[in-house]
Amino acid sequence: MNNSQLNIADLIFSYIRGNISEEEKELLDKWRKSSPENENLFKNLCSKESFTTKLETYKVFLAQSRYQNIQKHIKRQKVRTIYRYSSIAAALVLPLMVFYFFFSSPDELSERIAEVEQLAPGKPSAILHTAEGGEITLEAKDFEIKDKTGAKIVNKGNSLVYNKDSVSDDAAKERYNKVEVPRGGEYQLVLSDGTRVWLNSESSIKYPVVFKGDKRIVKVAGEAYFDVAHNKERPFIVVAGHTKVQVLGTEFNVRAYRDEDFIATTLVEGSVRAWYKEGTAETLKPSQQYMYDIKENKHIVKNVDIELYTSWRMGLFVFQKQKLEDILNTISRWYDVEFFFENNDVRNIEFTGRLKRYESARNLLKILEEMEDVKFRIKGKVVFVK
Amino acid sequence: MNIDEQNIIQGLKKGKEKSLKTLYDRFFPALCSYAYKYVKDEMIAGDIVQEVYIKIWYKRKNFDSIYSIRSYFYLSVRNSCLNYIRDNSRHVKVDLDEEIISKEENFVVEEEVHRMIRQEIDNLPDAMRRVFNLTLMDMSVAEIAEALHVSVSTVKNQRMRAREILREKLKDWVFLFFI
Repeated sequence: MNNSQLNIADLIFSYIRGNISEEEKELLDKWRKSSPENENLFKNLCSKESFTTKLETYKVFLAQSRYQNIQKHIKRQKVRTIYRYSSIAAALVLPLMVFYFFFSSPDELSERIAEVEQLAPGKPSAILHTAEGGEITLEAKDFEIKDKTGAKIVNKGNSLVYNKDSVSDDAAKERYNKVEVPRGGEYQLVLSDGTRVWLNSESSIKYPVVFKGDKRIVKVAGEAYFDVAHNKERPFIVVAGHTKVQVLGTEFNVRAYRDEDFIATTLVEGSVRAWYKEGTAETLKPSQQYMYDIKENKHIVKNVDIELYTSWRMGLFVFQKQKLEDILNTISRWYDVEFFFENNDVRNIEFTGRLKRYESARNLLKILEEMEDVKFRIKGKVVFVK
Repeated sequence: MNIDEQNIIQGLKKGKEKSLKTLYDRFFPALCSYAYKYVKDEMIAGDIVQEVYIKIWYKRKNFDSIYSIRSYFYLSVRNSCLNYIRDNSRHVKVDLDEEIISKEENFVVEEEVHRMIRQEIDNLPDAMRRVFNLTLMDMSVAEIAEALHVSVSTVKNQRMRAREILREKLKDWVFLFFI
């Protein structure tokens, strides 16, 4: 029965395709005529309604996300090769743990654990490196300083604003400042041309106090979101690792963390060109992402859901079918904690959700526990996962 | 069998998990829809099909063509469904009734044709596919533009190109002319 049915299906599909042969058409007609059910089915299959209804059914089943389970069963077969790597990992971890317990008195330990137990989210705190080589901590303390060129630098709330109206010295050389945001931090800047920059945790940006010359160039490490001030005469260029992004006046996100092996530029609005070293430049349209794979040394441009890549700026974690491993990497940066997997199977569990970023990590982890089969145990700045 | 399908077979024989994932993307929902016709329960249907995929993996060296895999898929799912119905005849809502016995012949025809049509649409580039699927759901151009965060002209453009490609691939799918 099975094969004859599959044959009929193929005949009908050939008909729909428009490349059914004479003989095949005869067979198909014979089947259609052999019963009213067959004729009805044929008419149905050529209609839009039955297909759209079927698509809805497909969605329901795809939402069951069964592939994970299938993968789990399959990977069990490959367990033997993994042993080698596991034993190395275990050996590395042990000495650190032993050290920690030996050299702290039990009281100190419980104190330390208690004080970090809350796992408070990052406060806006960054460091400004001035052109002279000085360092200023940008706590949530307002201040105003003047750069040698006369430019005014104002720190208010959690943003640093550059104002070039008062620039007196039009000296030839550009003077550079750098803002570094540590793990657990976040900061905003307004550069001298009005460009706004949002810096994520563990990120930095190097930029001139006042832009001169025919190009506006800044250097980024980590993750930053740009809202570039429009200036046709002076293209804005972001250098991240070895990739460069050139813009005219637009909004986009750049992600280039040292511990990740890709560099991604996601365009929200406007238009940018991105390229790697001397490679081909790609022009991006809104909702497109240029991703450079450092290991493979190649790039791709694809359409993405921008919310997934820029929601951090609005204080949200948005993730779609993201592996727990990757999600915890991000949480680790923002809350400055370390995750240790007691169970490797859970690394690949996929999560989809939108969570507020400023809730304490404890709440966030609780929510993740509700969503899938995973458990977190918080001990000081280390969280055990299983 | 085209090159695409050959790659899946070869990959499967070599034990490449990616090939199984491709088979999952292409066949899973259709097979569940098929199983559902027998067991009338979404989760059970998913369970059954999931098991069949695992079985396929263990038998992966036995398949020489996409047609033999397809055959095995439908056969295996049907057998598991019938077993399930037999084993649970006491507490399952619907058992192997007249309706199924008389109509089941065409279950496969229905599922497989829809599956192949969907695959043709899935072959479209991402943007075109998204716009086309939303158009099928009778969403207006403005609504689609809003949902995908793109301009109205982009939607019109993608829709037109999708239509062109599909008209080539699915010439006699009559309704295309109404979209």
